[in-house]
Amino acid sequence: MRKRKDISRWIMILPATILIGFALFYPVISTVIISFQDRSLFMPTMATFVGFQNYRDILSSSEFWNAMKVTVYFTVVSVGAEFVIGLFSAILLNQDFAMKGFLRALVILPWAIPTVANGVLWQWIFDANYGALNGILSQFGMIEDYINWLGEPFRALNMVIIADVWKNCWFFTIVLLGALQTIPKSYFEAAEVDGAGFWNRLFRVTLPLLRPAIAVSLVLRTSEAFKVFDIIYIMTKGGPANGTQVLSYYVYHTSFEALSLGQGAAISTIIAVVILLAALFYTRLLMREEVEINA
Amino acid sequence: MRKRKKTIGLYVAGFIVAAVILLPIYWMFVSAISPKVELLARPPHWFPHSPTLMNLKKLITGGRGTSGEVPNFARAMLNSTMVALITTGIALLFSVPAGYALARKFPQFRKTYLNIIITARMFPEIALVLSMYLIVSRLRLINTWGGLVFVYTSFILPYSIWMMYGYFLTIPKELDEAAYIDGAGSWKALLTVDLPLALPGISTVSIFSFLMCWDEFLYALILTFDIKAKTITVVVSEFTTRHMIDYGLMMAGGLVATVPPLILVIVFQRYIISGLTAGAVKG
Repeated sequence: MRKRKDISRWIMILPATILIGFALFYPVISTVIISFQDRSLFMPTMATFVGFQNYRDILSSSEFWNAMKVTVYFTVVSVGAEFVIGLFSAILLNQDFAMKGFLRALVILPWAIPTVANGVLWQWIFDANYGALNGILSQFGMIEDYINWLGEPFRALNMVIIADVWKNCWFFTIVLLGALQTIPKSYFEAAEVDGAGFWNRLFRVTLPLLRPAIAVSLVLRTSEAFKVFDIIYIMTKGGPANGTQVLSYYVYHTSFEALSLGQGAAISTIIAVVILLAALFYTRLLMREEVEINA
Repeated sequence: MRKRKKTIGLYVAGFIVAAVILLPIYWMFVSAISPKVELLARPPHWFPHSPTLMNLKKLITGGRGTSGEVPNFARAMLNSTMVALITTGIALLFSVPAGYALARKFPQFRKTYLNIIITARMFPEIALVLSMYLIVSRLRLINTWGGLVFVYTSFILPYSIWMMYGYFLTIPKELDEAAYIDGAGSWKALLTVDLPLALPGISTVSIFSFLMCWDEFLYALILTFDIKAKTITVVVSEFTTRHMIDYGLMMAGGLVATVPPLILVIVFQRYIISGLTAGAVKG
């Protein structure tokens, strides 16, 4: 009896583990191996060992450091904006007023739109000749001539960020609203009776109580934003002048357009190490939070 | 007086949020049903003067748009649906027993196991796409549903194991112990006692898995090359790479790709919200 139970628990966990090993860990290891090789997409079976050459080439290339800069800017600005919008809209949706239910149903819609569809939608809205943004701004007399929103490197990056924020800020709304609903209303009322204004209540009561939910949602969105690819590919293809070339797109370009698998794998490994370090830091943070929640 | 001012403020903020969300969605819809001349109007026609179903019809029946052959949208929808369904099925088949075993049977090393899985989830897809390509081509699965299912499983499975583990933890283990006393083995306890109680968790995992597969773009872009296996996201993306972009057709494509997840999300809103908040509380 005892023995049968011991075997069946292994039968339960082994298939999933083997599949993860084959479909996830094997690719990880093989990426690392390729990063030490000189390999071309034309002849993927021909490989020569080149040591750290790929890494030296990349770390000394200005294109890599540009991609790093663009990625960090994209991550910090988009996640920051999403968090602020998400926080205030969550507080709004936690109030008692007639639009509450309608808005709660509404915020989930942009989140459901596929990233690719969101990308083409905003590309059309930002269109230089017929786009809705140019149309509305010129109708209100705010611009004289139509602006080529995606035509200048830094402006294009900010426009892509707007498209990303529009789709993803509601994730924070949903998560933080969920956390807000677990806080007893009496906490806020007590603070109000004590004469605390909106900002005081926000910083002294709301934010500290939301800390675990904020930490986790920030972690999830940060790691996703750092990996961003789809919306860049759709809206700008990394251009103009590499202004929106994030790290993921740089890997794509190096491996599948410049056809240098070894270098692509080396950049991949560098990104993975950066994210792994962050992940390690984050898991520490998460585990600590979990203990606090359980306690 | 102060109360009244606050109420007005709430409604103003509420209308702003609603407008920010609805206007772009409205514009996608309007552009999809506008004839080409109206899309090229300055200022834009915010309300189409002569709405048409031309673009949507072209997507279904095929034919020529201004930028060449219209891709076979029906086939792309079928590819996306089947890949998402098969992946979800496989993920459930593997993750339900694994999540159960982790929650009940491996108290000593489940933390380590789950930590490794979280870490793997943090890995960027782009870092794996190279070797995925090599593996899938060695398996001779390039441009097939099977190739996509294999790759999608690699990121759905860690997620679903984690979610199922979390859900089984919320089911009291005393129920299992009662089943054991009645002579049931682990499998019987899982299937007859825990599984029925875990149905809400299984629903949440299925919906998220389906949505993630439907949304996936990078792997599908690299691993498929024609309409036999191209998914909806790849087909929609191709509208942006042609020389003459037919925006009406492109918006119709975006709209069609958006409708299935939108319906899922509206119908199963409760599961989505519980899934998102659970994910954020447990990581």
